[in-house]
Amino acid sequence: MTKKASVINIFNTILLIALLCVIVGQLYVTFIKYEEKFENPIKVTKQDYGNDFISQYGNRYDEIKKMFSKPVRMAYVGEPNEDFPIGCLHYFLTQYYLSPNLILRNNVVRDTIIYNLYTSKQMDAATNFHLNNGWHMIKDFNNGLILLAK
Amino acid sequence: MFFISIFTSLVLGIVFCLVFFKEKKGLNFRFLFNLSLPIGLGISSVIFIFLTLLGFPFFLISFLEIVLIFFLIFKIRDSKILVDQFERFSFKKMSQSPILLLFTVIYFYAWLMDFGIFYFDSIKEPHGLWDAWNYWNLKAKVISRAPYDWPNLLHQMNSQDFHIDYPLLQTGYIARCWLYLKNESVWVPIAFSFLFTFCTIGLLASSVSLFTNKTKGLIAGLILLATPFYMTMGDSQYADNTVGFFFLATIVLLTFARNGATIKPNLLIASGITAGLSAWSKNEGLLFIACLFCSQLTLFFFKNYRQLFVELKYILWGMLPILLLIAYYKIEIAPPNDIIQAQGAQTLVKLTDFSRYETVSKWYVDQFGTFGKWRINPWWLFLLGILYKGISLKENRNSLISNFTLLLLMLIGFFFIYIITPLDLVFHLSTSVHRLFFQLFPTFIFIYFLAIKGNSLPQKPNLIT
Repeated sequence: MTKKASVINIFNTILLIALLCVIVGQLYVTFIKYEEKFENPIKVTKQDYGNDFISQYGNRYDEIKKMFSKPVRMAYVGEPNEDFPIGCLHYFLTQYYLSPNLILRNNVVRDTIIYNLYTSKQMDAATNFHLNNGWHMIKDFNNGLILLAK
Repeated sequence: MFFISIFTSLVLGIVFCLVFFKEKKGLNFRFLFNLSLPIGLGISSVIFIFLTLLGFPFFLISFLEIVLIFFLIFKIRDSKILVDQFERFSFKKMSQSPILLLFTVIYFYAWLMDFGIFYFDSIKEPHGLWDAWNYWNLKAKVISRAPYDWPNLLHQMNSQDFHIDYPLLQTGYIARCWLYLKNESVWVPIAFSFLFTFCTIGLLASSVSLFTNKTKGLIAGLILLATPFYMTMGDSQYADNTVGFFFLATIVLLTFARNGATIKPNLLIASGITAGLSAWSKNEGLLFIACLFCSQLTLFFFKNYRQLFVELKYILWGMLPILLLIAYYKIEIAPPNDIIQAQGAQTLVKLTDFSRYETVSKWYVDQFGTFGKWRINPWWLFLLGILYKGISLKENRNSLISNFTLLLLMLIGFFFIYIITPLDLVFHLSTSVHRLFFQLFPTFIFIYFLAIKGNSLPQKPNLIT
């Protein structure tokens, strides 16, 4: 092997080792973040699985889902004065769990209405617009979900 | 049933790819597996959506899928048994090169670690992050719960809230598996994202290895495995890794097709199919197809225009059936895309507003600085490689030029979409620009390793079709 070739070879090896150090360093940094989980995978699985917000939120819909045998188009009413992103989250999750029923918001008027009062849980029957304008309560699921129909 | 539903797609993908790779010389199992499985998933999704649109009952769709598998097996009956050609793992060969052995060990360690991370993140958020459950999994629920009425139901949903115009590869496949299982297991979308995330890594590593050498293949795969945000993207169940896989597969197949003295029409058709599947994954795939054809025009300088048109014709033939399905979905079922619909007089105003160019440019530059959430920015490594080794266009000249142009056009395309977006510009950039860059990242790594000098071919890819 010529001298030039061996110098290039050394350079190549140094470059590869430098690259390896960067990659291994990054892998180590990532590993540290998850170290506890890697140490107790079964415990973490038991602790985390099914306890996320989306799964827990879905439990509220178990009963109401049984009421629709075929797709229904219904209007949606959320909490009064709720933040826009929070309101969106509740609305989207209602559509997610009640698909293929169509949940329509933005003051769409339908014969069936679903109230999703996640925080306040109950509506004031005396002052409620829908209850005083021809709709009646089909069922209050006692978890903030209330179904009205005309 | 869960494994059967995925296994059917795997077999479909493998026999489908074998139809295109008639000659198995140089083809290894890792490459074939990583390429075939996602293609199988994509084709299953296309078949499922197409046949439900025609009103076929689900059992008939499953039956037809199996018939198609047998038909494809019948088609490839003449070709040699692929097992003979599979490269076997050789420890002896590896022990001759300590560097290769070291990289292999680290590669497996990184793969296992990422597998663990994917698992832990997935059990923490089994429904995926916001976009995943709200856009992809929600529509999958509609399709699986109303398999005969879903076009009508999706048509009536508010597109601004649920992005009904997004294509249906991921959605359709998840719905298909849920129908197989007869329940809506969260493990289906998790498995779907897992397969695409890890097959992208496998395809990248194995294809770089086929074109250059094993060490470079392992390095290419390791770069993706070590990029923290890549795993986050995968376990979030977003479709960016899905579309990123098909971008990479298209480029790899195009490079294979043009490798050697003559072009390989079968592989050009296969690359057309993967490009079509990218458009069936996300709207960015449509931009990819436009950029793909534009990028081929650079080859006018290097080859006969008649030959180039023939190549483009093969690519178009491959993607045409999928494009027709996309066109039908976009015209007949989905409402118009919000960005396209909002265009009008405001477009010109935005195009001449230079502050928008400044904002987007700033975000682009920032992305290069913080890309992938690496502790040490990986871009300097790429730069160092180019400065030290240099670029060689000796091998795969045409592919490298057209593929690099394609990447550039995609970045320019994304740039102008931001310029004309009707959404708040900073909000749109902050929620998507990093994901768009990631869609192109595996393709970039592939092109990079093909371009840098010193590529000794251990076995010249000889995939004559």
